[in-house]
Amino acid sequence: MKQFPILLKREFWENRNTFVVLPCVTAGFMILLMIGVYLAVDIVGIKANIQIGGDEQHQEMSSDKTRVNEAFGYMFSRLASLPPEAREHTIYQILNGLAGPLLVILWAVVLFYLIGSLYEDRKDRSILFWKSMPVSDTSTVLSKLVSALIVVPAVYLVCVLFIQLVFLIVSSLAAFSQEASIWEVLWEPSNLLSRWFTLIAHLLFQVIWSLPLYGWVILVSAWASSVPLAWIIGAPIVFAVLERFISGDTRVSGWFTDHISPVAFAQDQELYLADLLPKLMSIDTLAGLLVGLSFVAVAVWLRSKGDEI
Amino acid sequence: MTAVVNARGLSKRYGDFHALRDVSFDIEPGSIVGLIGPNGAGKTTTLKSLLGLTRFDGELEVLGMDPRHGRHELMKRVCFIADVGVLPRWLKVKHAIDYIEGVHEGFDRDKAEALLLKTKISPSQKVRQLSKGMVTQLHLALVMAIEVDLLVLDEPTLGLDILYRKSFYERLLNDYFDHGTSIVISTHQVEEIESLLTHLIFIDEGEIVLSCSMEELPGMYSEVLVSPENIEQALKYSPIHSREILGKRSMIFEDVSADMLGNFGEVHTPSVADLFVAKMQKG
Repeated sequence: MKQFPILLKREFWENRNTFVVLPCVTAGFMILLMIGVYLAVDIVGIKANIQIGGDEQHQEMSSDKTRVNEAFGYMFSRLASLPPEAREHTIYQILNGLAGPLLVILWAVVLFYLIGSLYEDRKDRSILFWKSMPVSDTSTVLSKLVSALIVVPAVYLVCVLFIQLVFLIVSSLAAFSQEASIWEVLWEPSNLLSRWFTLIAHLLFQVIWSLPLYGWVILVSAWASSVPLAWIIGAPIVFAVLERFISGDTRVSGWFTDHISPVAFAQDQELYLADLLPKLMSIDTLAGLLVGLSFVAVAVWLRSKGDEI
Repeated sequence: MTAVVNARGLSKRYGDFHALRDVSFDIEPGSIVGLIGPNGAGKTTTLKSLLGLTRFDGELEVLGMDPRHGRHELMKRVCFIADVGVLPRWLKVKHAIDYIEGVHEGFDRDKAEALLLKTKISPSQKVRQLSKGMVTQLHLALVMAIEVDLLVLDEPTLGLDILYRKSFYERLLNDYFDHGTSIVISTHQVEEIESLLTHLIFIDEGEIVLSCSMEELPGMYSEVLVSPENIEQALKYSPIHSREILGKRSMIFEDVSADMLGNFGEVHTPSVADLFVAKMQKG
C-alpha cells in the first residue's frame, strides 16, 4: 500500500494529456465560448427571439448596438420573472449543458485508458521493466482501476465545477446593474453545493453500476494479444447472438447492456440522491459489483501469467 | 551459504517445441554466470523461469523462493534487464528514478543520479529521446543502484555498437563486482563477457551442454596446435573439434590430460568462444 501513490503517479505521467491537459483545454474552450457568446450578444444585439426556460413567451428586442449589460439585463430580468421552479429548472439545464461535454469526454477517456492499460506495455514490451520491480500484479491492476474510476473523474469533476462557477460569476457580473437580486435569481436556484454533491454521488454510483463494463474492459486488456477493442465489443455481441439463439431470450446480455449505459447523467433530467439510494441498494447493483470484481480478479490472474506479446 | 539458484529438471514446452528439457543447474552466491547458447536454445526461457515470468515444470528455487508464486516478493532481491530497450518510451528519466524509489526499498537514489552524471543522459529527457545505447546505459544505471542478491541480464547489449558494449561490461564489473551480488548474463556474443565470468553454462536445444566453473575449464578442455606429422596420432584421442589455422591443425579435446597432448604440439586452454563452437557443432 505504501507503493500506491507512486503507482497512481505513474499512470498520471503516462496519460498526462488525457487525464489533465484535455479536460483543462476543454474547460478553457467552453469558458471562451461562453464569453464569446456574451460578446456576440453584445455586438449583434438582440434581434432574434430570446427564449428562456420552458416559457413559450417570445419577445423581440431590436437595437443596433445593444450593450452587453442590456442584453444580459434582458435575459436576467426574464429569468427573474419566472416562477421559482421554472427558474431552478432553467439554471439546472444550463449547468447540466456546461457539464455535458466534459462528462462525455470523461467517459471516452476512461474507457480508452482502460482498454490500453494492461495491453500497451505488453505490446511495447515495457512490461518486462514493470515486472522487474517488486510491485504485485494486484497492485498494478488496482492502480489502473483507481486511476480510471476515481482519480480521472475527480480531475474532470473539478473542471466541471470550475466552468459552472465561472458561468455564475460571469453572469453575475453581466447582470450587475440589474435591480433583482443576483443571489435570488442566479445563485440560490442553482443550488450549487447540493448539485455538486449529487454529481459526485452519481459518478460514484456510475462506477459501481458499470463495474461489469470496466472489469470486462480491463480483463480483455490483460488478455488480448491484438486489437483489444475488437474483443471488447465483438465477444459480447457474439455472446448475445448465441444466447438469443440457444436460450431464446437475452436475459444475460440484456442485463449487461443495462450496466453499460451511462445512467448517471443521461437518463433523467434531474436525478436526486433519493432516487439513487434504492437503486444502489438493489440486488442488481450488488450482482454487478460481484461480476465486475470477478472480471478484475481474472485480469489480475492474466496479468500474473502473461508477459510480452 | 546455500545456492542462489537451484534448478532441477526444468521443462517447458510450447506445443511440440521443447524449449527446455530437464534442465538442472546451480548458481552459487557471488558468481558471475554466462548462460551461452545459440538463438532459440532456451536462454530466455531459462531466465524467464528464474524471474517468475513464465510457467514451467520442474523444481526451481531462487533465493529460497519459488518464482512461480509471489514474483513481487522475489523482485525485492532480484533484478533483471530483459533485453535492450524495454524501458517505456514515454517515461522521463527523473520519473523513472522517482518510480523505482517509490516501489523499491533497495534503491539508492544518490547512486543512480551519480551513475547518470557519468553519461550524457539528462533527468528531464524522455526515454524516446535517447538512443538505443543510452537507453541501455540508463537501464543499467537504474539497476545498478538497486541492492539485490541476484541480477539477471538477458542479452543486455544486443544491437549496440562496440563502444557501448565495452563500457556496459566495464561498468558492470567495476561498480558491481564487490557487491557479492550474483549475476547471470545470457548472450551469444561470448568474447565480450569471457573475462568477466566465474561460471559457464552452455545450452542448446533446451538442454545443458556444459556447466562448469572457469577454474575447472583448463582441467577439462585443452586446445592443441597439432603439427602435421602428429595429426593421425592426435585423432585417436577423438578431439571434439578440429579446424585449420594458418596451415596448422587446431584440435580441442575433452578430458584428455594436457601432459599427454603436449606430445602433439603446443597446448593451451581454448577460449570460451572456440569451446562454444566446438560444443555446438559436436551435437
